[in-house]
Amino acid sequence: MLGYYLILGWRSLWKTPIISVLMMLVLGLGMSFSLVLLTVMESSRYNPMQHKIDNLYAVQLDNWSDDPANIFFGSKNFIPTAISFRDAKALLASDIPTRATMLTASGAMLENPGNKEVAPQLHSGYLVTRDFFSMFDVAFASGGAWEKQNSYNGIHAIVLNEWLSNTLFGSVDSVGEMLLVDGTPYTVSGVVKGDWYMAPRVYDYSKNPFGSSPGFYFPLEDIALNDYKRWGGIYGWKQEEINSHQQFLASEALWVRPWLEFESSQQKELFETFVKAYVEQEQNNGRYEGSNKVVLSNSTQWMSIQEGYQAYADYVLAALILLICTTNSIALLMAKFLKTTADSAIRRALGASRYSIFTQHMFEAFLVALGGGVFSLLISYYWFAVINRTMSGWDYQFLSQFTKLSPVSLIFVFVLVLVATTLSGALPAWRVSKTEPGRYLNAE
Amino acid sequence: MLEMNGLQKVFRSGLVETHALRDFSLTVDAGEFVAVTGPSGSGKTTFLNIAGLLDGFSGGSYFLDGYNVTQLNDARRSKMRNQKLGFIFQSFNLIADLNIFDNVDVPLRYRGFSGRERKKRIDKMLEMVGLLGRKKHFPGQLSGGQQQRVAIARALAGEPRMILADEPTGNLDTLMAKQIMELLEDVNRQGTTVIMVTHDPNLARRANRHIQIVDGQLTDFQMYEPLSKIQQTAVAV
Repeated sequence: MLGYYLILGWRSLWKTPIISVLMMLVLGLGMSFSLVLLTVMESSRYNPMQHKIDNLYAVQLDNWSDDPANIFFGSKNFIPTAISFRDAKALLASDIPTRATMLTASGAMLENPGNKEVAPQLHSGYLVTRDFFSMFDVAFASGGAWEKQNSYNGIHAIVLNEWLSNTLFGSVDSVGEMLLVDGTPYTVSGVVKGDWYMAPRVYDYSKNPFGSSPGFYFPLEDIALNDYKRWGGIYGWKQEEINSHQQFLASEALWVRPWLEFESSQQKELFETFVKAYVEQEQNNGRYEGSNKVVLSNSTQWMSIQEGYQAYADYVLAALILLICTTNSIALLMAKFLKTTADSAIRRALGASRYSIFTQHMFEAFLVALGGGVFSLLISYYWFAVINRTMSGWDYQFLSQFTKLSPVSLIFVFVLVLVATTLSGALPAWRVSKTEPGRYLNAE
Repeated sequence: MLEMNGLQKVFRSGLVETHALRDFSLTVDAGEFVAVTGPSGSGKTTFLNIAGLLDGFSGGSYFLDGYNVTQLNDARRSKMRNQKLGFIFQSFNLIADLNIFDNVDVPLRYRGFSGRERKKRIDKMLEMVGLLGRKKHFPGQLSGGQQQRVAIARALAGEPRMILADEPTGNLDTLMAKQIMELLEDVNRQGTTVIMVTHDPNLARRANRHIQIVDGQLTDFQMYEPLSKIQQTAVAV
């Protein structure tokens, strides 16, 4: 009997090809748009540091106002996602973590004094400490991080991205070369491979995590000497008089992103104890009015804390698109089913039960859903091909993530639409199955 | 075969109640050919719908082939409709999208017969009504009389115990009507009970029994000698 229902469903759809295709197309469009949206969302949640999930941790200290009316909304746990420079120095001083880095986005005017043909250029980069490179597996084309110096007297070393090195120095290896950073001489200690890129940028997730590759990295410690640009977010709540760079560095302004690497959970616990003790000590000094909360988050948790509610909005948007398309399709299905009421009445008279009529129409709804699924695959395939083609000229490898149809999203959306449409067909199918055959058989 | 006792059928529309059937009692024995007449709106179709399990009733009892249909759920009623009843309508009620073969196939599908059995029965029925050669035609390609013959083939394909015919010749010319009536009489002679609603007194006279419904009640109850017997007697005289 199931085969019979399938044949009837197919014949019914074939009888009204335009409306059938329209229903499937509407479903397919809804599915494919949702699919693209989900794929992009899933790609954005990709954690490139997953292999160090038990080792890398970001630290949050609750150095925020105790005023209940003044809440930090920049993270899901309402604790600032950056710390002050003075706290960063204190944490860096600990020898408990295997590695530690503090960083912030920056920018500087770079100039090769030996080549006047290349004009000074403003580029974006990062102020980091040297462990950054090993902690985040930065791949070097030549050289490496600058030498370790436990000082804030100026390290004056810089790591360039390969494309920036080529821009400033041509094709020669720039390691050991000198360049001016905002007018201050720096020596190139390493060149990062041009094709090395982290997406999303886990270490600074709040600032354009899919942005272009930073051009250079230079020592955060050097900011103690020069007022280098800080292009990362600066959070603050306290009214402080800041008239100089040194006052800024000593202020409660929060702008340094701290990351730590541990080899064991004991090491992590030991560090937590250390930080808590530090916070309590600072509370005794009149700081940390909010609380003494210390939160260590692994890379996935860190992304989650900072992604805010955008992700939910994306899900709601995907669901709304699907809902609108499914509702339209169901309305068409309803109109189509109600037109077949007389035929259903004849079938009822000839021995079909309500269940039979219901099942027959459910099979038709299933076929529509299936057709919608196939359309969505075709549209999605085309859509991803278009993205792929559009981005083929782009340098950023990470963009390729967006051009791949995620099998998980695909199965999820396909099953969702199949189930939703089939179930939604239940209402019109039920309406048709409830018709009293006597009314439609034109007896008198 | 059919036993209705004190049947009531009330249609409610807001505060208005319409009694389509009131205290309606009728017994039809197996093998009878019963003609039902009455003015328009008298309740003939309501009676036929209830008899055919296409509609429920408000009070009284109805036994079909010994089963109290009040106690049957939709699935059992549908099964009974499929196995014991055959319908013939004034407007034929063939499914326009299905060809003749598939139209006759419909009740057999719900009966659960195998493909081979269905084909055997369909071919037999279409041959009986003289339309085997047109089994790939669609209803729209046939005349009214041919369509009614297909409807009869469909009604008989499942070998029902009772045929319910609602103005089966109402849309046909005299010649076609005569052929259809002969077909129904044939079917009845083979033992199938026939209940036929008609406006035509001449057709009603051809039945074993003629009942009349007026204002939802059985008002007249007549036994007729079959027309064939009357004709034979007339010839003898």
